[in-house]
Amino acid sequence: MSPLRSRYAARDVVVTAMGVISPYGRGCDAYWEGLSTGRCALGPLTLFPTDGFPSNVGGQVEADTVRSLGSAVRSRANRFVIAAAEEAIHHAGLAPETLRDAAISIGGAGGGMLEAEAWYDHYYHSRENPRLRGALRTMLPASQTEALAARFRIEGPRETPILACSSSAAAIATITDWIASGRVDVGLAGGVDSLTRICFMGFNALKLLDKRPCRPFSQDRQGMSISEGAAVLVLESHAHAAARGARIRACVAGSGIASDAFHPIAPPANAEGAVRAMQEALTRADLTPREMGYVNAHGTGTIQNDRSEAVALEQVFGAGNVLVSSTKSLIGHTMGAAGAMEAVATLLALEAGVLPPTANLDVPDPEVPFDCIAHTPRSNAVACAMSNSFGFGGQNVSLIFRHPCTFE
Amino acid sequence: MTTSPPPAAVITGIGHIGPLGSGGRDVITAFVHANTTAIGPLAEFPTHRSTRRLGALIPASALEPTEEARRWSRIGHMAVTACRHAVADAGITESNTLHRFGLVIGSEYGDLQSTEAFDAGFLRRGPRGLSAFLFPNTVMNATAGTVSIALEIKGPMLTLNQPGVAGELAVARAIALLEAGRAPAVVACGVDALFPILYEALGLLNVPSPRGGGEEACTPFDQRHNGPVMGEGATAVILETPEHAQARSAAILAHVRSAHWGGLPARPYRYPALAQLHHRLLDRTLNAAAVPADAIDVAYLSGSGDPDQDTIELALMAGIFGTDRPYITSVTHLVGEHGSLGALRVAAAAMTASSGVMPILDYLRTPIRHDLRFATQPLPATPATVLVHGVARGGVQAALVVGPAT
Amino acid sequence: MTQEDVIPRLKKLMTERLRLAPERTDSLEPDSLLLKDGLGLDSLDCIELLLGIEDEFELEFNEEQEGWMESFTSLATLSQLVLYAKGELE
Repeated sequence: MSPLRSRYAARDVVVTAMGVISPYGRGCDAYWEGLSTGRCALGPLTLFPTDGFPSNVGGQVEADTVRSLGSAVRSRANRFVIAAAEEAIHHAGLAPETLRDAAISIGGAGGGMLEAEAWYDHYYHSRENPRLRGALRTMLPASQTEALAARFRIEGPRETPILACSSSAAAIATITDWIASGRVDVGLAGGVDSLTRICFMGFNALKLLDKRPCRPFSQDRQGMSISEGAAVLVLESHAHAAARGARIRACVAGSGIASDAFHPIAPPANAEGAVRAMQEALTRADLTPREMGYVNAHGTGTIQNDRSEAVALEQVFGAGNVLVSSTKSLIGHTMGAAGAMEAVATLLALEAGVLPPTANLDVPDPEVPFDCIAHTPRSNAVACAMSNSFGFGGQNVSLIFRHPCTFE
Repeated sequence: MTTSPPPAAVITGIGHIGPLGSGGRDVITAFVHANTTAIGPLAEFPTHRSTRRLGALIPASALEPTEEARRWSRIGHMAVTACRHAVADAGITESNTLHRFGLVIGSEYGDLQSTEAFDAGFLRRGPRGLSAFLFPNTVMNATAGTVSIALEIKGPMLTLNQPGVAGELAVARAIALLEAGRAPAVVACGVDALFPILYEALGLLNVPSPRGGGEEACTPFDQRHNGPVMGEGATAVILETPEHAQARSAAILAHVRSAHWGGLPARPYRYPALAQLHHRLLDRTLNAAAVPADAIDVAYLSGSGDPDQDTIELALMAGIFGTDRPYITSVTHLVGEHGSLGALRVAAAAMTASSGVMPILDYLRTPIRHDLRFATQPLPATPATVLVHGVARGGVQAALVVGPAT
Repeated sequence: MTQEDVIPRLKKLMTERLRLAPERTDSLEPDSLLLKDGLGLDSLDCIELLLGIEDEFELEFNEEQEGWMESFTSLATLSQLVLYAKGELE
C-alpha cells in the first residue's frame, strides 16, 4: 500500500512542555525519579472496596498527591488533568493570547465515572440523592476537556478522542496533524483517567488482571494491573516555538493510526493493524526501523497482548533489533491516559539518555525475541524512539519522537 | 469570475436510522419533505417515574435481532445500520473498498445503557452479576469497533465524545483526517440512543421541556421554547477527497466547502453568555469557503428548544446575516433532540444543497427574534448553499458550508 | 452429578448469557464443536460462559491460563471441566 501524503506542506511539530500526575506523585520530576530508578509503583488498591474480586493490585495516585491538587468539588479526573495541564502550560510559558487560540485534544475512557457510580448506587437502591447529581455533569470524558478549556480560557478547536487504551496517543497524533496542516500553531494534547469501580470490576470479570503487579513480557505473566493518572503535552509548530524563544524538548517525527477490524477485545494473531500503525509512523517520520533506538511498548502484561505485540515488533524491526520496555510494568495501565503518559516517559528517556526498565521481568518469555531491559534502567543515548498503544477494539496508534530535533 | 477554492471534501452518500425511518437519501428526503413529527408520548419507558412524557424512539422492528448482531449493543446496531445505508447510498458494493476508509463516530452519551446494565449486575448480585459481554461496551469506542468489524473499515478510527455538536464534529473531524492524508475517504457517523436511565436522569437535571412551566413540547426558536424533547438516531455521511471520488466514478451529492470548529467562552455545562459571543469562527468558515454571508441560502441550526441555546445561536446569526437570508431551519422538531443530531443536519443540508428540499418550521408561531428569516415555506427546487451551525453546552461551536456539486 | 445433569444447564446458560437462539442450543449434541470449527464461539463468548458457569455451579476459575479455551471444545469437554472442578471426577 503506497503511503498517503498530507495535502498541506508539513510544518515540523515540536514538544515544548509536559505535565504529569502519576502514582509516583505530582509532576514530571517525580515521574522521572520513579521511572529512572525502576521503582514499581503497583500495590493493593485502596480507593474503593475490593473484596470478592480475584485481583486487587494496581496503581493509584496517592492520597497526599490528590489532596495537593486543590478543590475536592471537582471530579478526580478533572483534578488530575487540570494539574497536569497547569504544569505543562507553566513550563511552556504560553501567553494568554496564544492559549486562547490553542487546540485541545484530551483522550480518556472513564471520564468522571467514579463520582457518577456513587450517584447511581443511591439511585439503584431507590434513594436518589440530589446532592450527588453534580457528578452527572462531569461524568462524560468530554467534561474534562471542557474543564481545561474553561480554566485556561482556550477557544481553539477541541475534542475528546476515545480509543480505549490508545485515546491519548491519538490525541497527540491529532494535534500534530492540526499543527502540520496549519489549522493551529499550538495545541495541548494528552489524556486522563481515574480509577473507577467499573474498570476494576470489568477487567476482573474478563480475568485479565494479575493477582501480583503485572509482569509484561515474562514467561509467567498473568495479566495487567489497572492504574490512573494524567499527562498533557504542549505541541507547537517549530516556527512558532522558535519565534517566541521556547525551549524545544523534542520533535514529533511521525505517527500512525490503524484499525484491526477484527474483534471487540482481542488482537489478530498476525498483529496486522499494529504493524500498519508502526509502518505509517515510520513512513511519515521518514525513518527506517534501524534508526529507532528504543520502543516504549504497549506491554500490558496479558498473555495475548504481549504475544501479539512481539509478533508485530518482530515483523517491523526484526528479532532483537531494538530495545523495548513497558512503562505499564512500573505504573500500571493508566487506560485513556496511557498513550500520553508513556509518550512523556519516552521523551524524558530521550532527554536523559536513560531507558526505563521493564519491572518484574524475572523470567523473560522466549517467544519475545527482544531485550526488554529487565529490572534495571539502561544508560543509552538514543536519538529516535517509538511509543505504541494498541487499544481494545483494534485501535492501534504509534508515535515517533526525535531528540535532538533536526530541521530542514 | 473568481475561481472558488476546491472543496474540503465531497459527500457521496448519506444513511440514517431514526424514529422516522431507516435508509439512504430517499428516506431522508421523504421525511424532510413530509415534515411530520415522530415526537409523541413514550409508551416504552416507565414515565410514571419521570416528570416528562414526550420523546421519539426508533421502532423495535427497525432493529431486528440477527445472528450477526448477537453481541451488538443497541447503539452499535444503530450505528452499523446507518453506516451500511450510507455506504450503499454512495454506491460502494465491494467490501475491500472500505479497507482504506477512516471512521469517525461522534456521540454525547455513547453506550451508557451498557454501562448502567453492567453496574446494575454488580449491585444486584455482587461479582457474580457481572457480564464480560457488557464491559467492553463501557468504553465509548466500542461502537466504532462494532462498525469497523461489520464493515471491514481498517483506516484510522476515532470516537469523539461531545455534547450537542457531536454530529457536526464527526463530519468536520473526518475532513481533518482527509487533510492530513490519513485516509482518502471517511465514514462520519453521529449516534445517540435514548433509554430509560438517560431519560430519567435528564429529567432530574431539569434539561428537557417543560422547564419552568408551560406545555411540554418541541418549539425551537419560538417564544414558547422551554427545553428540548429527547429523541435518538444515527446518521452517517461518506466524505471523500475529490480525487478519490473521481477515481471510483462516484456520484457526488454535495460539496463541503469548509468545516471549522472551536470554543466560545463558557462555563462548563453552560451555554456562552450573550456578552461573550463573537463571530471569529463563522467568519473563518465563510472565508475558507470563499462564500460571502449573503450567498448562504439556508442555515441549519442546533435548534433544540433550549432557551439559552436558541437565544445565543440566533444572536450569532443576526450578527453575521441580514434580514433577507438565510432561511433558518432545523430537524429537531421532526425527530427530537440528541447530542449527535448534527450529523442528520449535515445529511439534510446535503439534500438541500442538491435539490432545495428543507424542513419547514410549521410549529413556529412567534419567533423570539423578528430580524431573521425562518423556513416557513418550501424553497424552489433548486440547488442551494447551506450553512450548518451548532453550539453546545460548554461552548463548543461548529460551522460547515455545504454547497451543490458543481 | 453427571454429564447428563450438567449439559442441560450449560445449554440454558448458552441461551441466556450468549444470546443464542434456543433452537440453536437445543440442537447441540455433547460432541458438537462449539469453537471456530463449529458453533463459532470466540474468546469473549467463552469468558462470558465461564462467568455463567462460575455462578451456576458455584465455582471459581483462575485468571487466563494458556490453552484454557480447549475446555470449551464441546459440551462434553465443558461438562468435564465442571465435574472435575466440583470434585466429581478424578
